[in-house]
Amino acid sequence: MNGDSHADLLQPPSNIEPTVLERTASHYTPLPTYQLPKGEHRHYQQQYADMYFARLAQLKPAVEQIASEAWADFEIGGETASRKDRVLDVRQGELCWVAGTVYMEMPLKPNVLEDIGKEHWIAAPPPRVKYDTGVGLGGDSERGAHAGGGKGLAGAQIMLEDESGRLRLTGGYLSGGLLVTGAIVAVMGTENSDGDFEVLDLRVPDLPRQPPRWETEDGDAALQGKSVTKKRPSSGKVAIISGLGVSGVEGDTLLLDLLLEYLLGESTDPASQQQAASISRLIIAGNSLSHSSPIPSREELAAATKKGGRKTYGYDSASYNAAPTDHLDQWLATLLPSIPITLLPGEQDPTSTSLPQQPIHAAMFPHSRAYMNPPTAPEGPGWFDSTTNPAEFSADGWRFLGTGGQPVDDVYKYLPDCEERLEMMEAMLRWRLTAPTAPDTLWCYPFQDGDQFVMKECPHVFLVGNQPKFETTVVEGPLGQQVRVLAVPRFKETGELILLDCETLVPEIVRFEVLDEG
Amino acid sequence: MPPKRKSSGPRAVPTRTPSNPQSTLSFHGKQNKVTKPGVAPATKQTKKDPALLEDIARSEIKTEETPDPEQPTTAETAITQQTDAEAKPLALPTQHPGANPDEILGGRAQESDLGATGGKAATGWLADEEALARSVTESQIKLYWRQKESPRLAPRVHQEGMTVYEKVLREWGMSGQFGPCIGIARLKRWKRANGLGLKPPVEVLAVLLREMEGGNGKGQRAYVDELMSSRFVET
Repeated sequence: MNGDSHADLLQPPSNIEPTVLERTASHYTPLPTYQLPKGEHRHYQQQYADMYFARLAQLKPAVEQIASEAWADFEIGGETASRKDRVLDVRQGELCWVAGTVYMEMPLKPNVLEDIGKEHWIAAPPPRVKYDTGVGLGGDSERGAHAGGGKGLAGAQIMLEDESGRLRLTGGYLSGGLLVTGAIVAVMGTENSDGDFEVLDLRVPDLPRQPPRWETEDGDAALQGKSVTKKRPSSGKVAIISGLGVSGVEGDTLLLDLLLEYLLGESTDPASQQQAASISRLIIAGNSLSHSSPIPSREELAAATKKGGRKTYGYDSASYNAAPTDHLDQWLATLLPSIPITLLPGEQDPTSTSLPQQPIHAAMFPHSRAYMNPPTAPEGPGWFDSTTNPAEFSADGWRFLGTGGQPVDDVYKYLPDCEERLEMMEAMLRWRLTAPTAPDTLWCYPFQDGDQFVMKECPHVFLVGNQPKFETTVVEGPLGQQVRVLAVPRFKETGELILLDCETLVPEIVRFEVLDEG
Repeated sequence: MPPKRKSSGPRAVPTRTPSNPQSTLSFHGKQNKVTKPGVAPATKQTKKDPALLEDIARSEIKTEETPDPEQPTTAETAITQQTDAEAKPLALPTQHPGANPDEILGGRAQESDLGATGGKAATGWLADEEALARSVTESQIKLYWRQKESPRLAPRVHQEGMTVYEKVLREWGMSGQFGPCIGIARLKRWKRANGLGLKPPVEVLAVLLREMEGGNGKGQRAYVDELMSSRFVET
């Protein structure tokens, strides 16, 4: 029993005013990297080829520089590797290197023609966990992301592509690393008699330049003509959570209430309340609602037609349940007076399904709306920031890059033997792509001018929501960059809240659990 | 009981004999209806599915508007919108790019300019390419074209009737290293290639600017684009 806390509570009434804890202030600058133009300026007329072309053009200089440095003095049997401009310029027997986009041909990848065929025959196939059958390409001795169960030619085919054409890649080297469609790599090797390119070595663009802390705020201040302050107050902690899964149906709101009380500093003893007072911001990384699409999915349609009901493609207004959004709104509105919140949408949230998901509209939050920026002045850091997915912002000087989990989940499906999500996140950073599989298997907006998913600057914190468990590591770059990678677990299943210390960037967990009696 | 009357309904004109060749008038049937056609008959049809009601089923419901060949397609409108958007900043050729934050901060590391999605490259202009393009002369364009033609063994066929400008623009569309030419206006494609650091030839920009100033706004869509999305299949 803690004597101090009891002394505070069990005492006769006194005239001494109790100390009120103040929450640490949060310095926040949202970046509009993933905001799409609104209204009629958003076009869908263009094809995805523009996006692949722009991605290659943006990343080719970086990867070619790394490759030329690595292979400038590489020699095998007296032959040095020469650089080829186009993928189809490789010649048989000649040692050379070339850069291009990876394309993986996998038998179980979603195929639109098969989808149309199946729609007429049977119910939808079960959602795939992995796209590969597991039969690998390399030899049995290789272990790694692409090594499969047995030998065989069925399974994934890896190809390198650019404007001129495609080149099939083979070799034992490939099974060692992670590759997904859309990654830009440089490969060195030679063409064999089958016309395939045998890979001896592979290079990726690696981490881009990392801005120093407070660079966004200093830059903005300089542009506005204000003086750049050298002294910044010490920052507190940032609370990160994901997968609240508010459904409005289940009575399982106890965990959410516990979390609410903890963040508001209403529960626990004064020592923990002091700790809670140092939390300056809450970041909700996706899937705040459990199921919010009123339009029935394909599986539900098939079930409805089987039962004999009418097949409605549209939206049945009689069945809309406003309870989930209402509950979430009330929860947020209770928290907002005390703590600023950044809300990222996820796969199940009521916003666009294709990446980059646009911010959840203020109409969904009638109570929390008061804390958002007014529609007449949408720019600037709002207290309640409903932002895009993926989102880039600067909190307490550190550059954060957050996603709701869809890109990592999609990359997971490409790698038959890899279960390490941290490895996939590290690979995404090294490929400089927030969503590498984007036009291929992940729905996205057809960017025409440039691929918005290319990371131009290295973040300090890369957080991914809706992961099965909490994992963290620090990824280091060639120029001394350091990125804290966080896999945020689903709160509904694990009850874990992550507190990230903004001075040291070290995370810690607070776990909420409801114990069932008997 | 009163004697049964033979006639039913309005009194029909009595026919004399079956062999009477005189034509008869009829006062029954659909053509002689007294009630207005608009009033629905209040009989047993109330329980039926409205979708099966005769008058609704018979009326022509146009689900898809038959496309008007005179109206532009969505692809064409997209290109026209792009052209207009590009033409606006070009109206004032003395525009300068925005303030450079690097100069103000003096020594802060360069924000990476990779890609057409940020930094100076977002607008498509890296330096004063526009002024450079306007200073390109006709002879320079012709020289550029001759240099393109000289490596070829034989002259291009099916291009005899085209002006040099049109030939330059078609070659511009067919150069794959600057990206796909379908679904994007020619000037926008040039600016995109410039922003990505691919160094597109300034002579092409000169031709494009001259075409635009010449009032030929139609020339912004690549020829291949028009072929691939043409509505009418020539047989």
